[in-house]
Amino acid sequence: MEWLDTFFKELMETLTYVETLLPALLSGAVTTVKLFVLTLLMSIPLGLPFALGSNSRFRVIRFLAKSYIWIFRGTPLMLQLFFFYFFLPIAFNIAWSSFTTAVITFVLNYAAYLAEIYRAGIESIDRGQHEAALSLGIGKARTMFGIILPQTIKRVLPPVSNEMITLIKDTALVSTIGVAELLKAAKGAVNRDVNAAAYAVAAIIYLLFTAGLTFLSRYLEKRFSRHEAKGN
Amino acid sequence: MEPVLKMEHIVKQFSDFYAVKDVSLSVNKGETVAIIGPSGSGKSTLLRCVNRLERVTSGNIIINGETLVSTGEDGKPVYVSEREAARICLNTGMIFQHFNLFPHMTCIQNIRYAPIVVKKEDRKEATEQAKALLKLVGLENKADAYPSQLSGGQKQRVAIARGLAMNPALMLFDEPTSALDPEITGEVLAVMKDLAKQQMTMLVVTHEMGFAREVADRVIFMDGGQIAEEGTPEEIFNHPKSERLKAFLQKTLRI
Repeated sequence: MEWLDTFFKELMETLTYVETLLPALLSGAVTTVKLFVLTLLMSIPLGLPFALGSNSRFRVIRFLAKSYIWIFRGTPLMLQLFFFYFFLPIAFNIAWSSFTTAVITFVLNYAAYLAEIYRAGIESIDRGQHEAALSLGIGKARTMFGIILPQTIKRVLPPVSNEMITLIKDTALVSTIGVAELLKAAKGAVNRDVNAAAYAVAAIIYLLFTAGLTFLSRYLEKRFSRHEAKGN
Repeated sequence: MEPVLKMEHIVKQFSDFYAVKDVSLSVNKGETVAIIGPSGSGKSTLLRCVNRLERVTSGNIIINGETLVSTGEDGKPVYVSEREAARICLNTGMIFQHFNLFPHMTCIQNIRYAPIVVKKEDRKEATEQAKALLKLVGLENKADAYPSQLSGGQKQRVAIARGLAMNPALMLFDEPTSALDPEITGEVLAVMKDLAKQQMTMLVVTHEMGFAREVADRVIFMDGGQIAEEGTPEEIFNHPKSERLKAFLQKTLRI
């Protein structure tokens, strides 16, 4: 049974090594979560005016909203990061931290993606809902916020949670402008120790995040389907 | 007496197709008018012009003595401002083929929503009135049910209650029973019959010949975007004059 003894010894050594990695990785993970939460909190509401704008009666507003969406969805997120990293300090003449730059870029980028999801969701609501509202004398804005959008929420939840899962992985991109998030922390450890374990641990942390998000989105979907009957 | 609804020379064109060609009709207070005719005869389009769900190509619409749209000198329609139009159209309520209840609201919320947000009625009073209306359509025990928990006939009865909650002078029915299974059209028609008895003014586009015959004061037969014949149910169903009406009745009544 000597092999078992060796196995346990090696396992213990690995675990001890992983333990030494954890402080750096967890602090990277905290940065990742901060970036994720800030982006989520700001891009989810910001997508709405762009969605409404791209459906507007006024041509100028429609053009502006659609151009915005086209630009931010049509160029690589990493390019946008690099661009703002160099452009923001010049434009505003202040030294922005790379973290702030990352948040701004992510919010602007994700708002564009979410706007398209919202727009499709709003358009998927049956015309009859607008007609019923009109026949009852309910104004356009009231119809949108009281009748159309509440029904849209449930329909856009699955694609929005999909975006959020993409977002948690996209946060790894900001290591390229020097933000010390999870991937950068892992990479540092791997280069220092010539041991790939840090990547595996980072992968597990990312997986835990996405599992949590999946769980949360299931819960929300169920909550927003309350008014749907089981059977008839 | 001023009719509740007056439509004059209504034309509705969809690109190069004329759905309604020069139709004039009026509905008097307390009257139930049924519009019958084959599919594609323009009857629903005409009805949808009344509350501006469709904008007319030309013609005049006068609701309760107030002009919603008139024809300008260039032949184009001139609508009053959106604000005015909304106010004038509050005199009408509409019932749709597919009910169009708000699925995220319970029955009581569906009914009281417009009175609260449009007429600024007191929430408590609006709720009481909504309950009374639910009782009127025989669904007082469904106040807190969501539309998805109701049968088609129940949905349509809630939709009628929702329309009545705004206290309109004229109710428009756009094929209210066409989406229902034959065995449950009766419960909806019974509610409509009650309304007619209570002197509600109604304009009803329908395929229910029995209803038109029994309940309507006047029947309008439309074909090809025009009124082909008009008269009392007796005249229309028992003494049809035009060949088109005879052929239509033969097809629909044969079964």
